[in-house]
Amino acid sequence: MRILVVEDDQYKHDILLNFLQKKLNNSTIISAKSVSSSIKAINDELFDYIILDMSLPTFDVSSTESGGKPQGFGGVDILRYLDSLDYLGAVIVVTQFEKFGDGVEEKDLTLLRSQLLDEFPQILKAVVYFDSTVKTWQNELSKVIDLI
Amino acid sequence: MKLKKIDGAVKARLRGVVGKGDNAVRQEICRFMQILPPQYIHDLFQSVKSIAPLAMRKIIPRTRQNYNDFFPVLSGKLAPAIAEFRWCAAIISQNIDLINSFIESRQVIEKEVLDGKNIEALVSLDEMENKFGKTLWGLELKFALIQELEGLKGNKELSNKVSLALKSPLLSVLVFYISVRNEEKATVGRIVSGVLDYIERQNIPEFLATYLRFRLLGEMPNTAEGISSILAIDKYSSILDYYETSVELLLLVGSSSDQFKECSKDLKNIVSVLEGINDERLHFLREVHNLNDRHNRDIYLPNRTIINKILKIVKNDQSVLQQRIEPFLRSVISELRPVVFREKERSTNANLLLKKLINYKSLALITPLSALLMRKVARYDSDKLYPSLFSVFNDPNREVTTTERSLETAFCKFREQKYEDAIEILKLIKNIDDVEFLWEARRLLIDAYVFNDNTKEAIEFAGKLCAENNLFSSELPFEEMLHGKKWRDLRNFDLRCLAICLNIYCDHYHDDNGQFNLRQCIAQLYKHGIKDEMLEKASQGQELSLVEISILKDILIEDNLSLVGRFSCSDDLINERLNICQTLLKIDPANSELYLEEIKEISLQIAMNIGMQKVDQNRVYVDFHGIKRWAEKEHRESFNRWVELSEIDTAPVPSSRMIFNKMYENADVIPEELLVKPATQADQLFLEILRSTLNKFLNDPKDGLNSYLSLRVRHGSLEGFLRSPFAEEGLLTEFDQEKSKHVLTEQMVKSLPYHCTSTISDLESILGRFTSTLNESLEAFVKKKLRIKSEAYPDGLIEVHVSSAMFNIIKLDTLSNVSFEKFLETIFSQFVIWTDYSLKAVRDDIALQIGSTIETAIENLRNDFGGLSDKEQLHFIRDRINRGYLAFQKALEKAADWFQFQPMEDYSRVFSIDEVMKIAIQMTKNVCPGFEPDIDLQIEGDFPLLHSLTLNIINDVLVIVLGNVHKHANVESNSKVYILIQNDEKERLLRVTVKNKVSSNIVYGANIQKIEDIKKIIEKGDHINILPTEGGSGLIKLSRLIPSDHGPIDKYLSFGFDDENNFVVSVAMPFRIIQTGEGTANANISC
Repeated sequence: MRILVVEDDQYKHDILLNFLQKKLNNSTIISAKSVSSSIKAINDELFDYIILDMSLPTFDVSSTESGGKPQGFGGVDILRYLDSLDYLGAVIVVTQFEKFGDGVEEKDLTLLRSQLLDEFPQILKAVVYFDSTVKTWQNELSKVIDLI
Repeated sequence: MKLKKIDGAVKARLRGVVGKGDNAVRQEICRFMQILPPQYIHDLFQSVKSIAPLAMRKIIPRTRQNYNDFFPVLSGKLAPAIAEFRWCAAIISQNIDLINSFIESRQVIEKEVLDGKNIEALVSLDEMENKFGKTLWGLELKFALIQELEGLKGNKELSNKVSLALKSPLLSVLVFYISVRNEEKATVGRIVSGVLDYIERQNIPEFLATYLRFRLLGEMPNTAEGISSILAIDKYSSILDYYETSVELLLLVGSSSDQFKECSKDLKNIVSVLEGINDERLHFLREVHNLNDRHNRDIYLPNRTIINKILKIVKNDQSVLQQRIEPFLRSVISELRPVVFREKERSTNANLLLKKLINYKSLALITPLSALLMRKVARYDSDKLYPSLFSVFNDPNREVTTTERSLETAFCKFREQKYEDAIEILKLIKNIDDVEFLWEARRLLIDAYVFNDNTKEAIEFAGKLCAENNLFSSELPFEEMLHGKKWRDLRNFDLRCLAICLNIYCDHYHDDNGQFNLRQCIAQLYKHGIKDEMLEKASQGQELSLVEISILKDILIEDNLSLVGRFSCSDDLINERLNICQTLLKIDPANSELYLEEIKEISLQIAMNIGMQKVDQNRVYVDFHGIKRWAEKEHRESFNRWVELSEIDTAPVPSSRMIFNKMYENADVIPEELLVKPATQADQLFLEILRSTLNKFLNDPKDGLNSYLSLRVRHGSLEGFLRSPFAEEGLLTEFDQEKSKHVLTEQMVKSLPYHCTSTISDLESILGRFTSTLNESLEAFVKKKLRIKSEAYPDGLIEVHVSSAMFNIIKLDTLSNVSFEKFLETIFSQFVIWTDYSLKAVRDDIALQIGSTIETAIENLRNDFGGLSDKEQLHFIRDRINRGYLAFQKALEKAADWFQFQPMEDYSRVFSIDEVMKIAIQMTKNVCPGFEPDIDLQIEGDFPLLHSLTLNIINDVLVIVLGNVHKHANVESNSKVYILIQNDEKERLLRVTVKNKVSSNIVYGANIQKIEDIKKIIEKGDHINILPTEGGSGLIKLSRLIPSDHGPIDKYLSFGFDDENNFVVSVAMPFRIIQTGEGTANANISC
């Protein structure tokens, strides 16, 4: 099984990776840290699951790259891209924020969840709230993976 | 029995206080709330609130079910939107007769206005005001009428009169709104942006601003709190305004199915909620809609102002009309179009407005274009409008041209839904002199394509039309063509034209899906080689079509390109745009100024990115030239003596490379050559030279590593850089000396979901602890660990000694090639290797120690806030913590990267003085979070290009001087700072002068004396000795940047207060010209 983890926060990425390795033994996990690198990964390979963060930088951040414009809804762009490719796998959004966007574009997680599930009913399986201090997200993510 | 008595007493008391204002009534009710059963209070309230309904609103009846919902209102907080709506239902049902009466009276006035009887309308308005009190609607109309009748003077008088009775920012906004609306060249866009701007500038509370934006501009709040705050605004409004607001709000909420889905569900449940409480109450929605149907619905049109505007135009003379009517009608149409199409529930209202427009037949007689526009409007309207429209065109007084007749016929076909016929006629309308007519015909053709489901033709035609006319209009039916379309629906269209249409569509409609389609379209332009083809054609000198130029010019821009998946980093992206602009410069000379400007901006951006990287990379630095100069003086002779003592023979000596090869072959054994101990007199001398040079390399206060650590890292840079992610989220507190406690920043207090003293104090205490942990951790690292290890700094992480291996490697390499220059090269390369190894400890400490300390602090922070009972506040804080921590981790990674040794100077990149200054200013802002000075930068004289070492030095000067302004000037963080750069060609000096205002309480005896003391220290030359102790003044640090061998220091550095409470620092740096390989002259600061 091939899994793509799109996550720019190293701390959260490591926790997710650890969880996925335990949960889905023998899987190949590839990581992407920005909208651009995830689109490239999606173009290059087929994935059974994609674990997707919502707020992402445009490019992978490094000592010589600031990441470009922050994409508050970068995850939605990736979902749209997958939808346009008629992607057949499953996507689970895992986010540690409860508010997204600024000013008039601001949305809370509940609203975003319902909008995304409405817009991508075929590929999006769940939007999970990640909080490293509690285990709820692990149970939720585990359940969703079991159901897929 | 008892209750009956109380009832009488209460009512009597209430009657007594009703005339004494809202507060008196509120207090009285509150008093009774303490002693009476909730249901009784509720009934009592029902019976008295018709007297002063809105004054009562803050006194919430303690009903069984919604007491908790309403209770926050008593403490000044907002109730949930649903609670506000429930309350609204009650108020309106109680005042239904009053509202009905108001609506009837208003209809009379509106008719008078429509008939042009402005004086009568004004009299009726006064009568209404006497009967119903002041309303926003009444005031608005009164100002409009007075301005119409008496001009601005009358308006001013009225404004003064009203402001005596109504002290509120509302009035000033209202007056401004009316005056903007009545300006000569008013358009809807201008009115909206003008009023929004004005509201912003008034510094009025956000809830009131939300209300005004909603009432005056029809701007719907996008959150439930926004709705709550609008409904809670009653203290500024009457029952009539309250009614108007609620009706409009409900209509909008009802039609905003996405944003207010949850709220809408709640609204539907109101019936049962209300009926459950009291059968006599009417269902809010039912009631509002009943009222709305009974009375003239068009008074709730989203743009009621438009009607007044049209009326005003009609009243004016026709020449003015001719100039203004066309753009105005255009804006009306573009405003209404989405309403008609998208929001079905409101389309009836929009159609009514259109009907009103068309009823003003005289408009159509003024210019043929107006007539055309009206037809355009009418074709979206119901059949009832059709006859009235044609009565306009059948007017015998009006001359009709052949083109108009063709258009007329095409229009008829269109109305009859014979789109193909319309298309055929419209295709024939070609070379007409009247551009406006031609444009109308083309627009109608695109419409016909769309209605005939020829979307492909519509897109191609529209794309070409827009590009060829350089016209980007929202009046084309892009929404019908492109709204809600998935990329798969569009991918077979002509990519060039589709890109243009999508680009215009995205400019005019906020649609994420549209943006995505545009990016996909661009990706396809790249994938199919269309972009390369265009650039290739241009490079071969072939002419590009207007469509192609338009794509390169307006569509392949950074914002659109960043997410197409073709670029892996910002540099690739920025270079692509630069390449496109350079091509455009050749092929589109008409817009060359635009491209030159963009190229300039991009070049500056590139230079800033590179420059900031270079400054970051050069934070850990040693001035090898300085050390070499010192070594020349200090050790050349010793070295020669060592050569003599060593009795070097001609036999080949194994070089360090050979020794390393040995190690590579057998890693378990350390080659014995590296373990040889210094035994001879020559060895002792050699060791002495090495130790002395290493000491200079590490500790020299001017050129050594410690000096640069002090200047570029310890001078607040590292702490500022690592604090800024949390500071930007408002998570760091400030210590208030007077209160002797941590306080939230002003920015944090302002952004809290709502204010509550107890919550703020909890936040201050929790965030204060976090701030202390962060500060202590960073301070300990910077002050104790980020040091060259010594007796004074036993915890210093940087520790380099002349080890046996280092000694032997340098000795062997020197023996194999005996020259002092070669010797210096060897020792420096060895020092760099060993120092870099030592710096790894610093990198690890940053990543592990600071990282884990802050991770624990964040965990504690999350746990501390876990107990917050208020969910909204909990979400708010948790979100900020997550964002701050994420940014902090990135900053930590970047800061660790600073500690990589950069041994060589890089002459390969040069910067203009303008670029150098901008980089330095940006770097200062990066390390001083919140510091946003208004910088007035002036550059006098011509400068050669400056290389990156010079960039570092100027950066050091600016960071120190501006950092001092930030820390010590005690003025607003956005205060003015003047920077003057001068080229003293005679002396070959680059002079930087920085002048900034300081707070008057800074300029006093002790501070002035302190400055004088610093001057004395510098004059005596003691500043060199003071520096290693750290914590000295930035001014002393500045003095270190000045050459010590170019004469008196006051020639290069001066500072002090002037007579106008300014602090002025002037630093001059000698520079020399370097001839590069290409023969161009670059400058290098030589200090």
